[in-house]
Amino acid sequence: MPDFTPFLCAKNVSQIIANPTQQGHDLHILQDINFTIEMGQSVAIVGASGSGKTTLLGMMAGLDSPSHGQLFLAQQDLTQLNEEGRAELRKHQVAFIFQNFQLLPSLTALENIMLPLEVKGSNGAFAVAQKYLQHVGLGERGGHYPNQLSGGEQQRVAIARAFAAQAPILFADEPTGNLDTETGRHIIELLFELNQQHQTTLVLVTHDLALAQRCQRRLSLTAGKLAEPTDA
Amino acid sequence: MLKLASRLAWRDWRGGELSLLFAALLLAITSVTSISLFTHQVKQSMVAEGADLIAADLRLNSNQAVNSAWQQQAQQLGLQQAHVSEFQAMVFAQQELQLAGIKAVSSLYPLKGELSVGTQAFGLGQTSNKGPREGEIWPDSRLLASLSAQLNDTIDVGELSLTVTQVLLAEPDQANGFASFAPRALIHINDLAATQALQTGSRVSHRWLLAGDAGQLNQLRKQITPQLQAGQKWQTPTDGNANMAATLDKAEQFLLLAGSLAVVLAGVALSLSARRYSLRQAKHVALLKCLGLKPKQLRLLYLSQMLLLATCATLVSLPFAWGLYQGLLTLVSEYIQTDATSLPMAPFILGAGTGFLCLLAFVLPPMLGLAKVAPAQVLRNSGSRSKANPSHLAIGFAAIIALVYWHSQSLLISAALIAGMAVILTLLWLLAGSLIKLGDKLRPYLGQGGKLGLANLSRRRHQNSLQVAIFGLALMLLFSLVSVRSFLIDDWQQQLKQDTPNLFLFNIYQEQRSALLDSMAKQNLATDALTFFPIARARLIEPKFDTPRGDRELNLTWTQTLPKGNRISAGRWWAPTPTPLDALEVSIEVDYAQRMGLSLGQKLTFNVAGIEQQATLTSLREVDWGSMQPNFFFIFSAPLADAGSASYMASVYIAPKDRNKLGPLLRQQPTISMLDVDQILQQVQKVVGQLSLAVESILVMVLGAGVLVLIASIQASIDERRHESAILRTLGASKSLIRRIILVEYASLGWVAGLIAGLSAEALVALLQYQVFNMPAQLHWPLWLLSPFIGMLLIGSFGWWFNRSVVTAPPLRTLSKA
Repeated sequence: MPDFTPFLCAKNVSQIIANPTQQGHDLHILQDINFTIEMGQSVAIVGASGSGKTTLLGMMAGLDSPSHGQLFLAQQDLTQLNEEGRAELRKHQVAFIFQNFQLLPSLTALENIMLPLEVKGSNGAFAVAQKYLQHVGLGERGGHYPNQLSGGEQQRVAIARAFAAQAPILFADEPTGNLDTETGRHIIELLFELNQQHQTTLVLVTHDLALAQRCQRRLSLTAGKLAEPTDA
Repeated sequence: MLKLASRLAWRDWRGGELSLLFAALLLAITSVTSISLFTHQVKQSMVAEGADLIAADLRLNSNQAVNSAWQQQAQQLGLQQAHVSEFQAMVFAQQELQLAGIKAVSSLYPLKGELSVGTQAFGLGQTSNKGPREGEIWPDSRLLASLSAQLNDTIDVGELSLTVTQVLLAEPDQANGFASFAPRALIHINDLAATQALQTGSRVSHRWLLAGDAGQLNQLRKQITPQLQAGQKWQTPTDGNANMAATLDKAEQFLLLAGSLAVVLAGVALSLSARRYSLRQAKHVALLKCLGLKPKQLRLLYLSQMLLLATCATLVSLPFAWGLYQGLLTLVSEYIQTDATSLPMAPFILGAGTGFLCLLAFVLPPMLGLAKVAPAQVLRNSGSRSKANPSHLAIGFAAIIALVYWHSQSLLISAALIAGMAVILTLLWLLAGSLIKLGDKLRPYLGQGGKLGLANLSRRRHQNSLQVAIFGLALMLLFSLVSVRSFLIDDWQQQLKQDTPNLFLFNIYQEQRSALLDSMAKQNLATDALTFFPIARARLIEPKFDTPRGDRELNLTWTQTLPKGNRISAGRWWAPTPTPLDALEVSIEVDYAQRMGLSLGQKLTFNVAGIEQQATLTSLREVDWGSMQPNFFFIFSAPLADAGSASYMASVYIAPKDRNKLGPLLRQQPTISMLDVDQILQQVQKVVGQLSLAVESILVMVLGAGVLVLIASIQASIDERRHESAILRTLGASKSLIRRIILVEYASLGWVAGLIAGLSAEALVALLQYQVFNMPAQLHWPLWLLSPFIGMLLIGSFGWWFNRSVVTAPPLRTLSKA
């Protein structure tokens, strides 16, 4: 049974940026967002383009700071942490999967997976990375560079990298956005299979309703405002 | 952290990210080290050449015998010593009698350089590194001819009879002053007493020759200098010959300038490569931040990476620079004396220091600035902004100034370079807008490629201004160097002219002038270039100077026309008609006047053969000492002696094939003294030859640095162009259209950069000519006309070549990578 301890919490979060073309008409990217995510939950944030999904994801992961409100991750107030503190939190608590995979082009598939472990200073990065590479079905492709891999393969490497980090929470930004339907389906299967195995808290942003429906909870954003949460 | 840094650096290196940065660093260290090593060697070689001219590394000229305690000190320091005593004496052979300059030398003479001896007067010689043995005399060609003697004859010097065993053809330290007019002979110093030629009160010049380690020589000099008495003076190789010194000085300035340009170009290339690297690293940094790396750790990571890179580059570059330097030496080995045993450390320190300083100034600021990259960038996949950071530019600029000064140790060269750079950057900035407007007006008349190419220029206005500035800067430095090299070598080539005078004739009286011309004509020697200069001996009595220079006897001349190789630097030259003696004017060589503190309008009083003459200083002259023409410190506006009593001097070129005619000529005109400067001239020509080659070799290296700047600049914008090209191709543009766009864009950039570089190079070269090389500034019209087209051709072709992948890369792959 998953442990339903509050793990991620947003309190009155807003993000406002100045309008460069019209003074006094600031842009409200996010308005008064409130939610709680329990440990081990899988949550999908859905919404139209420009609704503020990616901005919210960035803030939850401590990559960006809100204009107003508070965000708690692993019992720590992100808004009270400086860049150093947020980096420390990310190192131990957070893993990512990006829409554009964000693999470093000068690193092989295996080295890309080793990277978060090396940043953490973990021993045995090579063996762990190889294990996860096997897990995502690319055991033979470890020496290949990202530009030698297909989009689906690159995303599998990105998934392996995210799980190799062994972080308690995984943020995924449109993980199937750059993939065809079939490949996307395989990627979703892989993502949820690994999530199941590792009991990771999963927060993903998506347009894909099929993907959103695989999650336990869905948060819907419309023009920067959170609609009533709809639980699965 | 160091482990992670080295691992990431290795991966970046393997992925090709660091290659351009490494190449620029490699070039900076290699070029600076090898140029510096080469300059050092050329200077050493020059000093060695100079040493030949005084037959020693250091010489003490003295009017009395050298203190024996000093000789012991020299011996304790392990220095080589030789002694020379010179005096004039009557010599006899058979029935002939002649006043001759006798040079008595010790066994080790000469310590540097070689004697040239033969078996016939004015014949061909062979080298000898030893002087005559006891009982031997080596008369020169003139003495042998005037005594009608030959090899194995006996010549009496005072009370001693000596056997002629060689004919002295040249001495390394052949004095080129008036003392050497008389015929000469070499004898061993141990025979000196037996000649009894020297009596109390005899005028003898003593020379103490020293050779050995520079440090020991300096130590001895420091110890002895406070004890020197009047009439004792040190002479070093560099003040062995004014003509040679001027040539060497210009060469050294050029080598320093070239080295400084290599530093600037390498710095610019590094800065461009670093900028591109940092832009490409932005994504890495954002991702590393997402993975939890802190800004402080990131800074440490990049600092370690860059230091690792600089260490590797230094380790690779220094041996490479050594190899390159050895290659250069091989090229010039015929001309430059090399000393394989000495390995100077200073050039290596300078090279490695340049590498680390370049890295700290050009590479680290943008790298450390990366720590500010927002980690959220990875979510939006946005590129890093390409706007240049003014503080980074300021650090780079300050580093360039520091490096140029460190390298050249010359405020003037540093200031000229920096001023040139500032001018070109300002000009480029101002002209960028005009170019874009002009391009917009031209667009309707151009084909599709031209329209799109110029539109691209217009769109990237600021970025293009920067690129034009960099291209312009590289071209300006290259044009300047080519111009400086051309005018320097042209100047030196003047000294290599076939008909440069190699024989000076003295003690010619009015009535002998036509007889001399007749004798020369009879011997089929050319006389058309023979110009006679009257000479009077005088002392300056008012103002009175107590220095040895101020008190000595002067050689004066008078003429109505400014002699060849002279230029008025202040005041005015007098009217062509002779002035009366009561309104006598005098023109003085500018450096001499400055040293003696003489100024225009000052009244000077001279004692000429017992008669006081007053003259007004009305002009200062710059004299080309390299012209090998008779040159004078003092020239008067009217004769100081009547034509009948004045003696004259003249210079003439005698071709090698005609040298055997000098003996008969001398016998026909026995009272005329000759000074043969052929050997000095040959030494100058040898130095000029080696310097020209050195300059050419260095130029090739600096051109290499310039090309790297162009490549780095093109590479800096290649990612953006690849992306644009991919979009254009998806919109249906053909590969040939994209090639035309690229060609138009780069050729236009090259044209403007070339035009402005040509103008700026002209200004910079004029400044250098006037201030550094002490030459009159000249306009170089071909540079004005050709530079835009050279820029267009160079940058157009480089742009096209290095952007081939922009055209050939599959657009889908390019776009999917973005």
